Amino acid sequence: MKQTGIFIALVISILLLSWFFPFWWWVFFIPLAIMALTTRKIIPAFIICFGAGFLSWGGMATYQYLTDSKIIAGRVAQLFGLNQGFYMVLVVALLAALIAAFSGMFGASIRSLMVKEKTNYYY
Amino acid sequence: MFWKWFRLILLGVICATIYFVAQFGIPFLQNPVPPVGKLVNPYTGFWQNDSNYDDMPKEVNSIRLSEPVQVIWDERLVPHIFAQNNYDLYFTQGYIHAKHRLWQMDFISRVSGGRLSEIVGIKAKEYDLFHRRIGLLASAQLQLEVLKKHPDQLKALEAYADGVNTLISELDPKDYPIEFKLMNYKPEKWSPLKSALILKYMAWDLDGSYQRGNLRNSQKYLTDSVFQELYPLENPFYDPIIPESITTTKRRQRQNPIPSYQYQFGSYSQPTTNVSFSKQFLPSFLTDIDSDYQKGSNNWVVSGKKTRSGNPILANDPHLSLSLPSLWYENQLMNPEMNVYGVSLPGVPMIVIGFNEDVAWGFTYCTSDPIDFTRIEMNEDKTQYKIDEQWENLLVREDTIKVLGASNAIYKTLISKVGPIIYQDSIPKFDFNSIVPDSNVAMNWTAQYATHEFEAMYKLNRAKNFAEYKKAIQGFTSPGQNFAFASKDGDIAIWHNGGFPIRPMEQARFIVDTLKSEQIWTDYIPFNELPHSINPSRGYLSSANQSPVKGNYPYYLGSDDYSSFERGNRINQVLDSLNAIVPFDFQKLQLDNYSLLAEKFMPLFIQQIELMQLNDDEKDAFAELKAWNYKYSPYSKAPVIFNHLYRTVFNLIWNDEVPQNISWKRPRVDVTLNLILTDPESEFIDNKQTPNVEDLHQIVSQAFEETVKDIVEQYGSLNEKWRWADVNPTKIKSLANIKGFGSENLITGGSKRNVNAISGHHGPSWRMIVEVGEQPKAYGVYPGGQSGNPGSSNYDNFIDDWESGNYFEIQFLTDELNERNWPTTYFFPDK
Repeated sequence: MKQTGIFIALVISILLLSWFFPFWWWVFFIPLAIMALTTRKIIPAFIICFGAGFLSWGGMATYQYLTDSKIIAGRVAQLFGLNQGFYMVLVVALLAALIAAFSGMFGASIRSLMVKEKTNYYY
Repeated sequence: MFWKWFRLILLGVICATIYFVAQFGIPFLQNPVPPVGKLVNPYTGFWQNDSNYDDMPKEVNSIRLSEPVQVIWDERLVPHIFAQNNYDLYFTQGYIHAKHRLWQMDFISRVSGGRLSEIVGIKAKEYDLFHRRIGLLASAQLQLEVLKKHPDQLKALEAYADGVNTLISELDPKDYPIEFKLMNYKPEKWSPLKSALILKYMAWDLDGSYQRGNLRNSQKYLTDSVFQELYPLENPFYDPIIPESITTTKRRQRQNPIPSYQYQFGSYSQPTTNVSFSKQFLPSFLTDIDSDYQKGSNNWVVSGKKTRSGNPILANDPHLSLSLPSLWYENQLMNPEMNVYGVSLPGVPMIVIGFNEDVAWGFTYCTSDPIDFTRIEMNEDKTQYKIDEQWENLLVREDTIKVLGASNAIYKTLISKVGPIIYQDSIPKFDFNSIVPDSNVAMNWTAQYATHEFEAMYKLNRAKNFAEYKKAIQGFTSPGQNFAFASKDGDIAIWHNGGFPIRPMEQARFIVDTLKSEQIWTDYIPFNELPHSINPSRGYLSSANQSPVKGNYPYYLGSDDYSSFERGNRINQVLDSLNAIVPFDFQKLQLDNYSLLAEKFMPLFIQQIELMQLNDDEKDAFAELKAWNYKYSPYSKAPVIFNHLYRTVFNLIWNDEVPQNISWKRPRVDVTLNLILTDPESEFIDNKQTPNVEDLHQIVSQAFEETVKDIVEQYGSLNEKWRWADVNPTKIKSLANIKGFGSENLITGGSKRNVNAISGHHGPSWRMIVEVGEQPKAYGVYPGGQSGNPGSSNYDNFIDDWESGNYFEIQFLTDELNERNWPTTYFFPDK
């Protein structure tokens, strides 16, 4: 449940910040920060951030593609050696997913060093 | 614990790498990696360069404007700008150019100014250096100095720059044209200097082709009489541009030296150190800019007595490198003192080729020789050079080239009285023009002097009659052009116009070995003595880059680079035959694929091939040739065979005349044709590398066998793949050769020797036909679109029509009433 909440928070914050303050690096810094604040475990951090990056850029790219960006996506796809404009949506989503996943893992690994694992004592 | 630290450091390094590559890319590689994060993210990256990118706001406000300006956009996105004064007009033109073509403007001005290294790194350094050496930047600066004497024209450039800068100031990074995002740099402030640089680059693009080194080798390896026979000063077959014999009587005497830029402008010092350069090679994507010269354009004009309406009609199709974004931008400019329509160069105010309510004009490159080369003898420390056996000080121009990812490079160009020494210490090694680069060679080029292109355009845009046209073009010294003209008064004219120094043939044609003071240019051929014709009795005038005159013209203009007879003669042949002309006749003529070369060669080829024993493939090929109508139609197969055949004959005749390892200028095709037709037993026809003596029959037979064998090897026995358009597809590349941003494999007819001179990625960059009269009627098309944004449908939406030979009817508005209710943008003064 907690992880679902983190995932949703990540997606919404990347989307909103990228929309109102458009810089590419929100997808890098937000997962890093949120994971550093919430998670010590690397694998869940990777999975959550991968999904959030994929969705936040992939969703927006799909919207762009379906509205006004078909032509430019087609041309840039050729530049990337692809023959379909829609493949650029996948490229973009995967790229964001990887950026977010690695920065999220980095955030989690910072937390795992800085914050001691909570120990339960039983008497 | 160790594992946690190790993991942290490892992930930190990976994340840092990801961040830097996504933010900055890797620009230093041979194939640079763009800043992928910036480029591909859907919020600021390429996705934002979408199909709405070209949309203009309904309203633009600027404190710089003094009156409201109305811009009506027709259905082809052509802006019709209605302003109340010159400043507002050129401000708006600048704003709109920048809106649609900002990157193109920036890129070409950087190429011209030798500043490409700033964005692509070290691989462009030598290229930049070469452009600095030939003086593009210095001469653009000089041009602005000259403009200070013409405040109205300078003000037009400043207004234009203000318009561009207003648009730039409104852009967020997400709004930058995609090429800025790909190359990871920002648009910078525009200035009149950048406009001047674009014109200087056009001058170099047209003038910068010469084969003096090769011609010198031809001279060296051939006897004098053979050289004169193979390189005649007057080429065979051609109709000159000027139909009348020239009546200029007396050659002018030398007067005062033409003031050269090195003495007018710039700060120079004495050289302090020897100059040496490292060797670099041109990046592959830049080679096309300079290495491929196939210039050629057509214009013609007929008087009212040959047209159905009784009004003169003018046609022009300048042939240049075809690229996307297109070289041209179509627009109409109107204010109380003029109403002009035509194509402009993005980055430059005004209209370059077009018409107004009273007159129409068009250009072809004149191809007369504006450049001298001189080998310079310097002293050991390269501070002085020898002139008339006397030592004279060299001037030095210092150029700083900023290089992305490397320290600035400071170069010194040594300057003599016959121009800058452009090939110095072997470097820059640009031998595409066959200058032997190991020597110290100075280049004296008319564009390096004070030139007046802005003045000419400014006045031409406002010209109302022949007298004003003549006055307008007088100052246009570089690059030389054949200016065709028609007016509603009924006048037609053509002027072979430009700055052509008065000098002997040997000085212009070869590389001068020993510098003497009389080689310093002293005077241009006077304007009124340049070849020209007004209202000739035959009722028409035309030019196709051929020699302007025949016979007794008293000055040397050029000889080796003029286009051969095919286009010019074909145009005249058709114009002779036409009467009651309507604009549609000129559309057909601009698209004419008929080959006069084939008409002359083919009877001889057929005669020789009929004597051969042919195999099946050869029989098929011969049948195609025999049935051919000499038209380079896109689906015809014979042009492929003929093109290969005549080139092979040409090679077999000439390849044995000088040693194989020598780079030499081989005789022209028209000279070769003349030789074969008039002297079929000429000694040149024999292949001297074989013990036998070959005659024309053997040469043609061998060429035909090789031709068919080569084509069959490549495309199989006669089949659909032999079609001309399949073998020679037309390609329109992107300006920076970016994959996916061009338009390839277009199906067109024509060849560089046809009136429809399409060849590879060269061809008619703007086809225009104008009937002048009470209300001008005009038609035009160019291979591109108004937008420079590859994500827009307006980027290449004219190409299909251009490819199919269709024209658009030009909407020449006479008032701002906007009866068709087209979209409108209002520019308001923001008080």
